[in-house]
Amino acid sequence: MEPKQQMERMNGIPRSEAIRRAAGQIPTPPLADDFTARTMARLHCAERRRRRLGRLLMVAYGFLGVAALGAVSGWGYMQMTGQSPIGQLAAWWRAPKGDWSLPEFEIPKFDLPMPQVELPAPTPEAAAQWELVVFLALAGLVLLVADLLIRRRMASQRK
Amino acid sequence: MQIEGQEMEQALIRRILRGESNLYAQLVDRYARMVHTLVARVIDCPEEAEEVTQDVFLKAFRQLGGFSGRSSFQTWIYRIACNTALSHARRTRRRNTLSGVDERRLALLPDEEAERLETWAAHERQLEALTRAIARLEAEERALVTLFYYEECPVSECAAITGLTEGNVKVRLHRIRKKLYLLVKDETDGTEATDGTNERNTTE
Repeated sequence: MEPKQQMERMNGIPRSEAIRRAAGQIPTPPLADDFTARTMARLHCAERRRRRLGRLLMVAYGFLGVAALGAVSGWGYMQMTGQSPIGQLAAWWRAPKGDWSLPEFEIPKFDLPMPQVELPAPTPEAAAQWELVVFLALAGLVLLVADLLIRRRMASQRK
Repeated sequence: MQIEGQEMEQALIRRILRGESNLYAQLVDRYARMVHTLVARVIDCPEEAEEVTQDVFLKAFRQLGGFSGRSSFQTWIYRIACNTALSHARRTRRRNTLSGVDERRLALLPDEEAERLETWAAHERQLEALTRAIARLEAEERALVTLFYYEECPVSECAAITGLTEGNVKVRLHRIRKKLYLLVKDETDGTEATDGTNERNTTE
């Protein structure tokens, strides 16, 4: 028995010569000669498609961002002036040249009444518990940041 | 020598990751045959095997940034190949891979009797039956047979490739040996019985 087989037998799993020979008899279909070339062509094609999709997604996200910004500012404009921004654009279009005046409006005052609540003074035990919670949260945050930094450093070293 | 080769491979991978993707052809050239052998033995369809092998290399290229270098590139790509081939085999389970071995028979079979399988290495007829029996195994079992017996990977590497524990790999290999023994025994006993009947019929 060969040393390798003996070692495997000691390990509890004997290397079976019969199975090895039988497995060797199973025919493996030959690989085409141009396999590497075809794989690389497929890989480049997939990469091009992935990059194109990435660009498309970036444009779509940009468009969505601009649309969301427009919608929010349009909504704010309507709240303040009572006029739709599209209506304002149409008014500017119809107005004589150089007249870019805005309708008069007042900035609303947000005068919200604040509830007056009197909180009871914390007991020393409760204060100590809160101190512990805050300490643990801060320690967790420090560990999280340290872990992130280490991971980033390891990833950059790998590259 | 091996460490030197691994370092060269790491350097090659770093260059590929930096954007020299054409260099990936070198890795494809080096590992294509090994990967294809494993894939072809697991999925058992030559046309699909080549396509799945290509899929393996495409997947590996996409995940190359995640290759940490803790294991060798060979083990890493074998793992991708094994997973891809097994999921393909599960998706397209067209063959009847049911080996027809009763679990109770497997459990009752003494280890010493299964050891008799070794004596078949010299008998052509039993070897052919054993080859057919391997083809009747489940895809996962065929992958293990290919890795452990054909490619002669150590148990630890088989475990790293298949994602099983070393103990689990040993248990499965042990079961596979018993299963193969029973399959071949059933086939040869059946043939002998048929031969015997034929002989009796001829003499009568």
